[in-house]
Amino acid sequence: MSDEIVDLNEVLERVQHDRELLLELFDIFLADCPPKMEQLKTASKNKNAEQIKTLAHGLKGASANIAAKKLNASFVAIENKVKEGALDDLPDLVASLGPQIDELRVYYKKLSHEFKATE
Amino acid sequence: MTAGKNIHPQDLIEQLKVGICRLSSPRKNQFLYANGAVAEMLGYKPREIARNKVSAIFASPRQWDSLSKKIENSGSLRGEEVLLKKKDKNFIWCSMTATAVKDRRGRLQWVDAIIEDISAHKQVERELLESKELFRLVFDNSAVAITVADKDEKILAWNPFAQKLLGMNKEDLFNKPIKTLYPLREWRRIRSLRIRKKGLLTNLETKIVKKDGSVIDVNMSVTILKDQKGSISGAIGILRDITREKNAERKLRESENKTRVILDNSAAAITLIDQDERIVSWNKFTEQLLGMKKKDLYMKHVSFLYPPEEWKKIRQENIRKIGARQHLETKAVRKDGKVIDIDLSIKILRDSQNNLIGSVGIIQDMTQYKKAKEILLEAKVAAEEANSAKSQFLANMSHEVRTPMNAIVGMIDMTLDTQLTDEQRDNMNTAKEAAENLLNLLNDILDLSRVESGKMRLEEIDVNAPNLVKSICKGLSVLARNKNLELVWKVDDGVPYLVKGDPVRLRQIIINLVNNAIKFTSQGKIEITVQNLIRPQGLVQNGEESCELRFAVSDTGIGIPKDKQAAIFEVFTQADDSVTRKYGGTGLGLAISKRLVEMMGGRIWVESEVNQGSTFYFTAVFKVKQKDVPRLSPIDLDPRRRLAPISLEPSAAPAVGPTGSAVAGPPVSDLKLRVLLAEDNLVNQKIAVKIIEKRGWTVKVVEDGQQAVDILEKESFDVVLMDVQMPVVDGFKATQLIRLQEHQIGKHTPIVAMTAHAMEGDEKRCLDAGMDGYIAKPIDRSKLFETIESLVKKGQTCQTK
Repeated sequence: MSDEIVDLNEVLERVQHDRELLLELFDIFLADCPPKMEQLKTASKNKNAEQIKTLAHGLKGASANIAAKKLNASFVAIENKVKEGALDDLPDLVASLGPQIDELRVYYKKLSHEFKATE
Repeated sequence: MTAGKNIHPQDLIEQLKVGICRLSSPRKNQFLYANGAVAEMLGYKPREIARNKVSAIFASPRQWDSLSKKIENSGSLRGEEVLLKKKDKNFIWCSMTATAVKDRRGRLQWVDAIIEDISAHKQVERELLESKELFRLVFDNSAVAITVADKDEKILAWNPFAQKLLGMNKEDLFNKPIKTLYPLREWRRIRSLRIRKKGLLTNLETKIVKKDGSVIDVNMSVTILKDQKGSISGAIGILRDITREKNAERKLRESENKTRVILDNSAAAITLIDQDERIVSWNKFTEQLLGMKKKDLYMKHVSFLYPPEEWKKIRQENIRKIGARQHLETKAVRKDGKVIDIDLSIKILRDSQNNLIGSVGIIQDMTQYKKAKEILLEAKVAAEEANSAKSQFLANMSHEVRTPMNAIVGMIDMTLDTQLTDEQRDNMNTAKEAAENLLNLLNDILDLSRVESGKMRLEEIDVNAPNLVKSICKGLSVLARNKNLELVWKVDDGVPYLVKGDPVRLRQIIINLVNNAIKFTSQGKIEITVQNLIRPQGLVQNGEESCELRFAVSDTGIGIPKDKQAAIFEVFTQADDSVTRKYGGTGLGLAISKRLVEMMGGRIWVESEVNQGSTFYFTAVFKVKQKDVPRLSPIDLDPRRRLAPISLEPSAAPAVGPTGSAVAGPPVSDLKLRVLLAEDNLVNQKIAVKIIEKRGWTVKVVEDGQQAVDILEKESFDVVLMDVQMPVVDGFKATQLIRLQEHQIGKHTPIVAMTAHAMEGDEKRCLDAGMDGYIAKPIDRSKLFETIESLVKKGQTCQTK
């Protein structure tokens, strides 16, 4: 599991150093997360494998695109657990996402702070 | 009697077998007459004898002188034994009877003598004498005690050795009842043997009582004597002292008994096998262990004790050849068929000529041992699992807690950047410090549990040890300066410029030691030295040159008492609880350092005196990168770079400037494409749009597969970027629908799948669904362009054809 919150170089490269876009992407992602997390929690509690898979897969792709390494790894792990049928492990994994999203939010805030400062 | 009338007395005398002669007086010393028998007796011819002097026929000539005087005086001689000399000079014993004939005046006229050969008689007599003498000699000098008893069993005679053996004298023995020589029990036993009836008893082992009351072992033989009428007249007893033999025998038996006791009480089955591998002897435990009796074991081939496959294994050990084998783990079969685990040791036995005579086998029951071992093993595994689980739990916990901690620290930082009152700022700083301490602890726990669960892997990349030390010192110099401490470092010339190792972990160890040194020192200096311990045998390992570096961090601080020095490397230990209160710290740093050092093939130790200071040493083995690298790097020589942070990780990516001017993307394409993007996720949409627009293409976005199908019905695009997983209609399904539509109008729009699957087989699945290409999320720009452009070009060539 990667310990890196965001690989800034990677995501900057991807958005071709459009910092505004980068911040926007983080914002979109972070705004999208809470409702998705609620759905994930419910689905994992209900052991709704199909729904978990879909949700995790979408989040995996998005987090990969913004190079949110740590979160991405967590979504990969969730997806794998569903594939293995280890649904019992899911609530714990899903619960661990909350702090990670908070962490990303802090990262985002600091980053926007920095960007503003260097403008 | 006519015949009688004719016989002359002279003839009669001449013919007699008795020697008859008439001898003159000794003075004249002449034979007056000698008959044939005399001549014959002395070996002369009949006429010869008379020519001899009388004295000449005596062995000693003087004998005749004394004899004749005797005859003259007494008038006669009766049966006198005389030794005569034969013509051949041999002597002959004779008996002489003689009568002196005198004249009227009483003068000796002659002597008439009868001489008889008594040599045969003499021989018998001598032999008798000799035999008696011999018997006496034997009797007196025998080293056995001989006693003779009369018919009333009273001692009649004995030899000197009997006296010696019994320690008795004549008075003690003569006429004493023979039974007094024996202890009562022994006498009764002897009596019970009815010797008198049998007449003979040989080699009876019994005991006798000496005069001093001591009892000794004897070997006794008894012969009963009988008189001519056949009635018992006495008995001869011969006693031989066998005390020494008996003692030796007793000792041997005792020792054998001891051995037996040892063998029988031994908790190992001990069996003796003959040269044909048959069981000949065994101890008690053998029967117990195998549940067998004598009839089950005796002369049975030893192989039957083992399961066939085990016997094969034992055979393969070739024990006969090597002579012995210890602790062979095998199995044995009990009589009840139960197979038990045993430990077998075998020793081959050879005689003095080195001939094989058999072997000794020692079988130990390993059932309990095995069971205990299994239990222990299980316990060990359980303990290890528990420990591993603990480490895992700690690692997880730390990891989980670290994430929100990062958020807390981040938020505090951001708050600190805003307008705050002094009190608020102070509070926030305190909160930040506490949060950072907690983060440090978590990091330490994480490290330790990683090492303990074996998950820590050391890197093997270039390490510049001198620069590493230097940068650490620079980094910590602020801390040292705050405490007015001097921080100096010295790297020996022998230390290679570049080695292969894990710079992060090496840095961690050194920082930990230097931090501690600063923490526990209030005045003086902290010194870091690095030396190359050249170990001749360690220079080349697996063809690669290696070195062992020794790092030392010494301080002039509070020191560590001797009895605490070992413990400080243990988890959660500081020299004193009060130390924690005063100086803080997690207590994990040295424990982690110790494990890291061990992973680096070195060791860590401390030399310290209380109130004098401490020196922490550690060693680590590194491969030497290159031989001829200059000792001084350009960085060292460039004064402008001296205070700059020195990157020790060549793997670190080059920094990307936030303006992005340094990094040029792929140039704007000369193709002008219209792209349809089917992607439900806003983030992915925005990124893709950005990338495509930047390329100079136009892009239309739809949010699900159905919309893609719908729009393609009305509009034309050069390429479709299709997310695989979308709501309503997914990418696969949408592709199928599009292909169906296009089929009717003979068109083919390239469709590129975008998926976060990144699994093997994804690409095939996409192509199978009718897509033309595939790219994985996160989107790689170059790859995206490459895929699209090659598809479009291919499509164009197809269409122009």
